[in-house]
Amino acid sequence: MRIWTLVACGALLGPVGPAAAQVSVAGIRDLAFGPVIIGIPSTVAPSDAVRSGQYRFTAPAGSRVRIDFDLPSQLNGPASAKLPIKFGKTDAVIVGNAPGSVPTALDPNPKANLKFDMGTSTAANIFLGGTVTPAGNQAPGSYVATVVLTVTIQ
Amino acid sequence: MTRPLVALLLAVLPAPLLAQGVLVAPHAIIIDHRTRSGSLSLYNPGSEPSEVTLSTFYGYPVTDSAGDFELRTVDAPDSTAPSAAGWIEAFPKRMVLAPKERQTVRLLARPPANLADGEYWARVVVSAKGGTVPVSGLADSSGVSVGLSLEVRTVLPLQYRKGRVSTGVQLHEVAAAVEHDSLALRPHLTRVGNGAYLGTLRAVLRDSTGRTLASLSTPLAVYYEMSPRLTAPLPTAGLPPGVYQVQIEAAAEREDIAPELVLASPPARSTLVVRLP
Repeated sequence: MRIWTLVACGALLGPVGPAAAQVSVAGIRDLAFGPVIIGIPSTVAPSDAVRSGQYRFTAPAGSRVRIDFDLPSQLNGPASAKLPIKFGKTDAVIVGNAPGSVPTALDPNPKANLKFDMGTSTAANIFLGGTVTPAGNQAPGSYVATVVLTVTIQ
Repeated sequence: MTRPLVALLLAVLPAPLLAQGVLVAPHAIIIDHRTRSGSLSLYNPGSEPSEVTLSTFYGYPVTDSAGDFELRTVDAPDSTAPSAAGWIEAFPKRMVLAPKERQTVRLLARPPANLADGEYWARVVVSAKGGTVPVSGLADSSGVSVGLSLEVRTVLPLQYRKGRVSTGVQLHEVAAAVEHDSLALRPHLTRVGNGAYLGTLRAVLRDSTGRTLASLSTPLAVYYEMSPRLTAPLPTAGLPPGVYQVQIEAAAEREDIAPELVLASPPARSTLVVRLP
């Protein structure tokens, strides 16, 4: 055990090899419905420049990546109140950063098997929208949840 | 739909990374049994602290019926699976990266004593989330305000090599077709040897005079077998009726991985004829 600890400490202090191609995934902007009207569905389109969620990922040009969303079906509010949320088949849009890249609509729902060929792009932006449906007797307050994006390198 | 999207993208593409996320390098980890360690470099490019967690699981890429890449995962791999997921540890496993902060994570292997020669695989998951859950908008006593925060995960391949490891790939049953404005290829690739095949697949479409009309190049990672669907754009004028030749080559080269980490193997080639009526 002591030897293993020493090895671990030594490794932690050692130099890092030269970085090869890198990947990054970042949430740039939260999906923000803002105030909604009780009893009336509220939709944010992925093309909404202010309220849509935005992710950005980078990967080596030419690589193929798989994209998986983990989406909530409801948001949590005050005193355990719930608010349903749905994501349509075109509620996500992806576009690479290469010149001439065309925005492509994606189905963010699970098992949609999303993939993206980087081509000459080295980064891509994903925009996410959705629809919440507050009930007529929806408890007032703030409702929150988390969307998880997983990017898998082949 | 297109105009708002273009406006949106023009507005946001130059934006720096503002929220939670992490940059990871390298994007493929290869560990040798002699050193039993590797490293990952993490960087938080954002303006908020990022809570980062590392974990591993066993999985490898395959293709689905449409030829799209997906990850086959096994929750509890048996003894015959070449899984390294159970004995790869990250140090540190959890951390909070301050804005613009870098952190080196060491990956240390503790393989079983009787580990046979060969290659063992795992997937490393780097999860990042912001330190706070934002609530968007203002809610007064009668209103409802809704916000969803974003978390991100990056899944990277890890290969652990012990002793003599060899690889190669065989090209079978290559299907080629012209679909609208693209050349679509569907090669069936089978790995040989005991290590995953990392390489590049290149294909060119030529006419009867030898003129190149379309080409593609894509990285390959064949762990067992796969049939990826690949496409290459055709000339905008289209293709006149005639006989064309498609040449395909899989070579053990990767632009994004250091050459010394790619297992050498002879190239695999195939040629087929495409007739357009």
